[in-house]
Amino acid sequence: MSASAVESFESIIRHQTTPALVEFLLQLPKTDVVAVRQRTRQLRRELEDFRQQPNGNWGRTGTDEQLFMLRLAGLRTYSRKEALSPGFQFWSLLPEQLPHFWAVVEHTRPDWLGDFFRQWADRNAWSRPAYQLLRELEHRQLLAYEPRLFAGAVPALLSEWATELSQQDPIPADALAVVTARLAADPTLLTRDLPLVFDFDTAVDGFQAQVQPPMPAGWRRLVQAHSWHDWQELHPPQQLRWLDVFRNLTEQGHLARPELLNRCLQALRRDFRRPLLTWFRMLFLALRPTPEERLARQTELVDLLAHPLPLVVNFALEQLKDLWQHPNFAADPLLLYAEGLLTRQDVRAGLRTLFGGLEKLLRRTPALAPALATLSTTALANADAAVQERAARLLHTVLGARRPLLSAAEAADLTANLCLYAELLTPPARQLLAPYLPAPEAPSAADHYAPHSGFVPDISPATALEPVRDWHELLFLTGQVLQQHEPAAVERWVEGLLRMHGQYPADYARQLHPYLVQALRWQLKGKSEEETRAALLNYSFNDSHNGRPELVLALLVSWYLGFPRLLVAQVPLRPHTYSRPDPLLHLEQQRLAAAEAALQQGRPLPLLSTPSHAPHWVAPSVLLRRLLDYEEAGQEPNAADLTLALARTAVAAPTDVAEARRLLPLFRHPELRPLLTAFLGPEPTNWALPAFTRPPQEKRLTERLSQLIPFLRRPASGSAPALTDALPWLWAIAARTRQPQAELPALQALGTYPGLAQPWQPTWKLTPKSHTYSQTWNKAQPTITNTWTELSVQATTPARSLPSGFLLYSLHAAPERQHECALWPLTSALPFLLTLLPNHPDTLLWHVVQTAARTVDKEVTGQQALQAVLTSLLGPGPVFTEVATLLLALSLTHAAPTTRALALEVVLAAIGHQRLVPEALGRTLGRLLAAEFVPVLRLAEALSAARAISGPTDDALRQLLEALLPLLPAVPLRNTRKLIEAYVDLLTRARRIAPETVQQQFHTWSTSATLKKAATCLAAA
Amino acid sequence: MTDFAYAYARPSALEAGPEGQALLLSAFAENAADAAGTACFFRGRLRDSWLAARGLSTLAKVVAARFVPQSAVLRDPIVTAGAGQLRFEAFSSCNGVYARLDLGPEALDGEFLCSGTTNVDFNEPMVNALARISRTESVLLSVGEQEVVLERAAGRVTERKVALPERWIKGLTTVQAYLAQMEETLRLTRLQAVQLVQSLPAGAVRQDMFLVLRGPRPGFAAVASPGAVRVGGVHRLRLLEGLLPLCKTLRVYAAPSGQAAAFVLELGGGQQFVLALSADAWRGFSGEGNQLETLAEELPAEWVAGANALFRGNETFNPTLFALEHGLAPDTVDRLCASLSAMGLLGFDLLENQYFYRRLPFKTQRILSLNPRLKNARALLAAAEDVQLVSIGPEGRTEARVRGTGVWYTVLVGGPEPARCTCPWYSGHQGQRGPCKHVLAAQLRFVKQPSA
Repeated sequence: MSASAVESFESIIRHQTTPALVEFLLQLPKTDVVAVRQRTRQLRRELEDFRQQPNGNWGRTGTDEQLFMLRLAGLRTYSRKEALSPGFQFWSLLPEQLPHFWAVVEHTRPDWLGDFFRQWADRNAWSRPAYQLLRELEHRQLLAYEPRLFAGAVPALLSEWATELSQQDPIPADALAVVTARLAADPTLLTRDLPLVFDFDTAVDGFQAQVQPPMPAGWRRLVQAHSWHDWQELHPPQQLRWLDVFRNLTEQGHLARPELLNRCLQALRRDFRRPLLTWFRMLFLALRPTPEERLARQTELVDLLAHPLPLVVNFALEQLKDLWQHPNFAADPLLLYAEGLLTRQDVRAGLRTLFGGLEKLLRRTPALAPALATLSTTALANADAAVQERAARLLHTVLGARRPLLSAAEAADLTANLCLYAELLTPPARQLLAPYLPAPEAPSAADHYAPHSGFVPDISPATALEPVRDWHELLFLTGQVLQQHEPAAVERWVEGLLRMHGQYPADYARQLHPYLVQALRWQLKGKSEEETRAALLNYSFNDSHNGRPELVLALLVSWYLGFPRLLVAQVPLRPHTYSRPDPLLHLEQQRLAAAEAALQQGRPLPLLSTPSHAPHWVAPSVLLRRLLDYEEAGQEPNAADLTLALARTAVAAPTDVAEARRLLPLFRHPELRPLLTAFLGPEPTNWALPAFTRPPQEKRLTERLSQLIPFLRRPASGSAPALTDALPWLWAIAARTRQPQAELPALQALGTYPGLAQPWQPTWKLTPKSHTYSQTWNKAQPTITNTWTELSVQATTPARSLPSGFLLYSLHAAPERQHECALWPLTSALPFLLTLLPNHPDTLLWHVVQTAARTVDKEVTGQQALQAVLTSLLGPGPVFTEVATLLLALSLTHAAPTTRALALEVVLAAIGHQRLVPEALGRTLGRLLAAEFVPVLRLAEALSAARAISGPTDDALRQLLEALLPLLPAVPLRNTRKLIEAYVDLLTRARRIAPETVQQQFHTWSTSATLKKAATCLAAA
Repeated sequence: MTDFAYAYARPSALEAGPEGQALLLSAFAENAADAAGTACFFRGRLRDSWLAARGLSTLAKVVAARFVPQSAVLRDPIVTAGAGQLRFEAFSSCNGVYARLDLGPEALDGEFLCSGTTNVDFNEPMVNALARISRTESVLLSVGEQEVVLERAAGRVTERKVALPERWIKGLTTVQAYLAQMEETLRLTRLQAVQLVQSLPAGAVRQDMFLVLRGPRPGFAAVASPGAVRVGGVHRLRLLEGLLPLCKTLRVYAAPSGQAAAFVLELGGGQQFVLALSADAWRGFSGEGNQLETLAEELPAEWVAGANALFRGNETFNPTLFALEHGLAPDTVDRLCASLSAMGLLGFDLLENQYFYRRLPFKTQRILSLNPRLKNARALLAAAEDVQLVSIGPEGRTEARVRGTGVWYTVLVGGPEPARCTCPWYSGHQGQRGPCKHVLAAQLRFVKQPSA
């Protein structure tokens, strides 16, 4: 390596100018190339650095000239690898830089130049190498001709020329003529490169330029109030578009018009970008082809019918429209292509044109009737009612012609084919083809839909949850639990942890170590087992954003350490500015803390609330057996655990409840036995509450003071109170679990909290809201008012805070729970929370409505919350309550398509499980639509996807629409027609008559121009 | 990343000749000596040139597509000629979509000059030209060129450097294993195929969708149900938008694990188009690792040589014949098929439910060296104490400890149940994307394969 060469190079870059560098580079010996290359890279790093300058502005460290010099050095010394790296570019070269560039590039002749320009062109559609540069490189034999590269550079020519013309004084009066002349003067450009824009995906559609004298720098100060608008008026810009350039070139005979028309049609066959295809279409139209020219190109136009984009197909049909009846028009190729077109839903407008043409063809050539009839039959599969109607009309013409157009055999075949499509026909099409269709079958009783009257959970061996089998399963389940947080897996894991206590292998902590590292990657990465243990012994959870995953993690850490101290209860679950943990999580904390304490004491029993049957039921008999085990072991059940166990108990499973009642006499707990007797009794009881022992005055006082004075606080906030203290609330939970919607006057003795003696039954309403803000700078519109509708939940809220966190069914009624910051923690915890209240989830669902569904926009967290609820509604269960129906209605018309798709699945599943109450859903949807809270189209699309799946589904949808339609306003909402068509279709296939309320509504709507036709279909149905 | 210098004699092109249009596909094979060089494989007429052009255009569309943010590079398809058929295979740039166009004897009217597998040049002008073939046009197809060597000697070689990533080649082997596992789940008519296109959800769909038949109508549901086919990244099906309305029957296949789905379009006239989708848009077939266990087992060299000697390109691979020839036990044959497919020697035809012989135009050593997990597993085995036996349980269930970075992973291998590990890969994927290096290392050391 020559140190002097590198030093000279650096000195030139730092202190000299470009000519000196060029001289240096041209004389650079081969042996010094690598060394100079390395220094070039170093200097680029230094001088291209973007930093704050001494004057306070931000910019590159080096000067423009230094940066250009470094690029020249790169050009001379770089290998392919460096040259193709993202940072090495030659943007626009200034005229004074060009001689230096050519000197170096001619001398070096790098072999990577082609790849360099190709990569440059590929990287950025808006900054491609200049066309003239490429031509010059080609001319100097530095670059091989590559059509794609040159095609990409052509469109920018317009801007380059416009810039140049704008700087002339005076600017040309007709810039378009100048541009046309320049193109005409360059035969290579005109005949070789310009036509390439038809072959490649270039930006020819996006480039337009204007020729206008540049506004003087001091223009605004010359005369007061001079503005850009004034300059525009004084010097109106001349717009330059490639479209006009091509038209001009054709008109002046520089380009052959037939060739250009052909090229447009050939380009339209490609799967280019939509805007580019639109541009080719516009160019074709701009050339105003005559009917003869179009007729001569009928093959090319017909070929376009196979294009996937409607804009091309519609264009082709439009161009063919007036050629149908021309004697030279060949119908056969068209019919060949039309077949593939008829079932497409995205070319409805084109299909109407097509059928117009087919009708003309039939009149011109009746011999085409069999082929046209076959095509029309295919079109009956199109879901669009208008297309079906046109096809049916053509079929009706063919089949009903006075002089038969089909042979007897052809007519028989056609009629048989029509029968295959009978199920798919919309009412207008069915009406037209009725004479040729078989009479529809009368709906059977099996097609009737009614919600079930009572739900019985499946408590059987088939649904029994399998416990963890052995140590290895428990070990690998740990990984699954940490990664996926699936509620059922966590329950199995906790159950396994408790049951297999004492059977863990001696090195269990070592085996758990990888999982700890996965869970606490940042804290434990790279730590040995000893270091991990030391770190975890002092580990504390931070004070915010904690949820169930952190509770589970605390239990895992505790297990890993061998339970030296209780960690679960120490996980803070306090509300923060942006996070308000759900109140149900406190119970989960107490339950897991109880499990941890039992493991620490070495005598764990299974948690009472661990589900025994899918999805999350605790079988009553299993609950009793677990309680008996507790009694036998002399352990008192944990109050939080028992509360959740009661909430999860399958009290509606009569067989298993009977089995539990049989076990009940064996259970002798003096306080719990009466509770369970009432809870599992054969009939709902009057819930005669026993006299509870009130906590001593001193204890109550301490508890109250502890809320105010920190050092008096109970040992751990996450521990559950004693069973005796919780007993009144256990009675309340048992009663409300058994009878979710009943009035329970016996519970009035416990207080007047929502959901205690009276069921908590909120209502909802839609309120218009608006927000006005001013924009003083905009004189035309000084104020802007945004309006929207918001859904709000109206309910009684407790006058004071709840006496116990065990009141599961009242926790979400507290006003502070309606806080906006409850949404995020709610959404992440919701899949688990929904497993806690299988008998009566309504309070939680109302909470979801008021936090996640006030507006049905595309906000992601709200969507996730709705989707979690929808997922929980997919399985069998009781009929949907008002709030479940409301959530379903909101999801079915949600802004996010994924939420709507999931809601549709819930509707179909709920019909299958007979959980859906169609009238209730119809009424709810009617209210939402009537208030224009959601658009009609979303519902119409969902109904169309659910159509003709099964008899009960159709019947449920009919009932839904019969409840919904009368609630819609007399002045029809947009797309009401689609709902009417869906209803008429259901009605026709069910051979039913619309009820009086619906008929009245249709009568009202029949005066509307948009609905007249659809509404009259009802009379015909 | 591995770069291959594609030395095509000339770019592929659609050229007008005295006998009509001629589609000349230039070929290149890295293992040219094994694959009969780049001589002409086929020369003849396409019986339905318009349909074949639609299939080739769709293939080109797949090749140019990408569904994760990465640069789109046109990767050339490979074509296997022989047994009266031409099979064009390709991947999307992201490796998540596999496409194959099969032109059977009914679709071709010409002469197979030799059999083998080769890369073919798919350049943009040729793809442009494909779009211009009309319904009634007659087209001559030529794969490879006889005068390649002469042109090379004259120095007229068209060099086109294609940075072909390893994952592309790896995906070609991985996808065959999925295809071989798949079962036909749905069969749709042309009308239903059109309805399927219409029911595709708008935009890029992130979550899984499930293809179901509701009444007579196919559609995509947001939740799984019995008989539904899981389709991850369902928007990728839009690649078939232009072709589905042309098919006579659409058959839908699904892997039992739900990790891949395939759509076979019977286009009629001896043409079929296969599109296989990985489990998610962000997952390429190359990263699946479902072949790793079979690759871990080294096949005797004579078996590979025997397969070469016995079968020609596109010939149905008859495992029984092969087993008889080499005296293999019947239970070894399935394993053998999987191994040969993992080495790039077999493809799988869903309609025939048979493997077909096709040797990828890459060196076998290259294919075998593409699996980092396997390489890492072998590296673990290099240090004796990094893989330790703990116990051997009932039915050969073996517990081992394998060293990780600062931790020891517990690994269970052997026996009828799937292997397990406490590493993050296994925890994250639960074995659905092939075994981790720890499992592979434990298997290689402690689990004996049934012998031939």
